[in-house]
Amino acid sequence: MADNIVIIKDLIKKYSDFVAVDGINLEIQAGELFGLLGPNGAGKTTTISIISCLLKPASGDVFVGGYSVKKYPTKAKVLMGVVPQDIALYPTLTALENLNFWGRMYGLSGALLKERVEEALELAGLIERTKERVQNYSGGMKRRLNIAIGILHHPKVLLMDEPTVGIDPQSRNHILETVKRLNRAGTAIIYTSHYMEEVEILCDKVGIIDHGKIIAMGTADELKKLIGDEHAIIVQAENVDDDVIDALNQLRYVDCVNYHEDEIEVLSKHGGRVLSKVVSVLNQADVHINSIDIKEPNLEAVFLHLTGKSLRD
Amino acid sequence: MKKFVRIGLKDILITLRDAPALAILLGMPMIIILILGSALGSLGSDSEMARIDVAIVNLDEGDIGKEIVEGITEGEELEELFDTQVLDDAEEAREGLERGNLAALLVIPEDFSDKINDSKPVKMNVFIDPGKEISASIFQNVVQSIAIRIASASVAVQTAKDVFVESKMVADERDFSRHMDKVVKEITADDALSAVDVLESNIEKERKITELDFYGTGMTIMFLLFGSMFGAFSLVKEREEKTLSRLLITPTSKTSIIGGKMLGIFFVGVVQFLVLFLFTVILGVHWGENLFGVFLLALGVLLAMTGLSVLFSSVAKNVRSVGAIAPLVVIVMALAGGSLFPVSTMPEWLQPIRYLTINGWALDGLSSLMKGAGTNSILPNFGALMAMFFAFFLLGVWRLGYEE
Ligand SMILES: Nc1ncnc2c1ncn2[C@@H]1O[C@H](COP(=O)(O)OP(=O)(O)OP(=O)(O)O)[C@@H](O)[C@H]1O
Ligand SMILES: [Mg+2]
Repeated sequence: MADNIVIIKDLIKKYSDFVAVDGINLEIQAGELFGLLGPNGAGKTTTISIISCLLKPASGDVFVGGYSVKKYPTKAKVLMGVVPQDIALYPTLTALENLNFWGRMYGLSGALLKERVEEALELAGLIERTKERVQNYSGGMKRRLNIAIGILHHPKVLLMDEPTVGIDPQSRNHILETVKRLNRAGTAIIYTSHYMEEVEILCDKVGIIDHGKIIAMGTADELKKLIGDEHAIIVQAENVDDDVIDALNQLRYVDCVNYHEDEIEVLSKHGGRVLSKVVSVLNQADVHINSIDIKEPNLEAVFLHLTGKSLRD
Repeated sequence: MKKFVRIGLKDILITLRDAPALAILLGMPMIIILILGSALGSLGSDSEMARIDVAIVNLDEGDIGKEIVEGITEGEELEELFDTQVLDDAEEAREGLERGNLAALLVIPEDFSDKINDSKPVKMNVFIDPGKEISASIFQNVVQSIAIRIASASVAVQTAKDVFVESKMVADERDFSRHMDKVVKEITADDALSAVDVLESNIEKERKITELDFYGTGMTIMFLLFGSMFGAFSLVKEREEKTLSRLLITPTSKTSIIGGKMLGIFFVGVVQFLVLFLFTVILGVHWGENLFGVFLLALGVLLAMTGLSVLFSSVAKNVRSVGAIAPLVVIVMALAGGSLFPVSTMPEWLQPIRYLTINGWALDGLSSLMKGAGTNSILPNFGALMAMFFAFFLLGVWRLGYEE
């Protein structure tokens, strides 16, 4: 208990009749990097907003460093840094002005503020363009500044809500490195995403959320064991019709077939053995194969297994 | 430094970098006042105020009519005050008045001298342009005082004399011949002299409210109110651009956040007022002698404007609807409150609506100050503006749902 920096208890949040968060329980240890993985609309942002005291829960409570967010929001807020999903910056102010302002909102001032601002700029890789207005920044740079603001006051726990959405791979790698660095320095992090690769690489522990409920939790390896040795055969193909999908479904050892935008996904516990059969079915049906790939069990497959649908639509 | 001050300073910086905002808050009023100023003719001339365009049509064949014309055109002081044309054709002169070329027109009737010599009551007609009522009333007062002087001069020779001046709006010209229902005064020499004194001192005071003063102050107040649009923009943008959510998750109280936002809006208004005040003073606008009173009224206006920003941001939930609603409200207030033309030119039953507007209370107070009133006499105006501030603010906060 003493080690848990964030405790979520029976959390429920409704938007009028719609239940966005439906009885979540979670415990996040100090220094842990926790991933919250779920598709669009699963309730990730709503959960983060309640933890950060922006929304009030319908019932249940969250304790941050022992402080209830209902009873002691101000004390809880001091312990938390938040990187919101939507970039929240003043576009006509420079990076430096933004950082100085937000630092002051967290009670920093003087030499300490200056030091923290420099540290954040260095971490975000923005040292060279501190005096430029944020509106001239690229999407990736804005994302990085958005993160930098969240860590100014050295929070015990950092809530990061899809910090890599909509940016190029290079900026994304930079951000993932930053997250690791922060975590190594002792910051507990709650990281939400609908990119299973990110969560798999980064997180010590992963919770899978759908329709406001945590449907599975554990380390990435533990979760993968849920589905055994499920391999995914991914085929990029043209001229696919329903008969072909039916034929694939009827193959022995095939557990599930998904078809979406010229991509066929065949799940099987016997990847190698099924592969040749899949190819021959496709050849017989005159399907033009563009590429074929076989993937080890991953969280995507876990999600599919648990919900019967894909993480990304 | 307190957090709310930081929030206010941040907003000032953002406004200073907002070129469209600066153009509307400072550029537009300056240009409008400059154009009106030069159109009203005072700019670049040495005299402190614009000369008032007036005309005299003298139909009288006797000496007294001529005397009056000379009385108005030849006095050095009056020459500074009026740009007088002496015309022959009454119709033509009235057309000039209707076209707006003149503020007022004096017509001396045909048998003026004869009637005075016969000791019969006589009257002169002063036609005025309702749009230039202030200037016109100055001319009317001068004509009145000269009429009294002539009447009293005749008193020396004759026993009793009545001269009176009838003034008419251009619109009423049909009842040119209608009799005035004013009491005809009997005037002794002493009465006449003291009356002239009183009138002259009135003229001294009145002459300070020129069209330039009127538009300079009216436009300044109106454009201060445009601050409420940008204030509401700033409040709504903070929500739209998600920085409000981000502020709310920092350990900063809601009171500091709304207080800081309002401080920023108010302070931008203070800067705007000081710039426009200096600008108008340089152009020769007289705000009156009581600067403390002027600043007190400006404070009231800026507070009411700040309250209005909060109200706008609660009614219109995004930048676009603020941009639609705010200018409309400001312009309606400017029309009803007398920023664009004098309230006294509106139908009488409509005039009280100015007391529903910020402009109305502010301009009412400012014109008292220009006429030399003390601070006490504008305290009700300041009180009304403060009441508006609280009303707008509370209504706005209530509508926003302070907790959400
Ligand atoms: N203010 C709101 N009013 C009504 N419904 C809302 C509101 N905010 C969110 N929702 C609904 O609640 C559900 C959860 O939303 P939430 O933003 O928490 O999802 P998310 O997991 O963060 O999704 P994404 O990956 O798209 O960010 C969604 O179905 C959403 O439509
Ligand atoms: Mg979200």
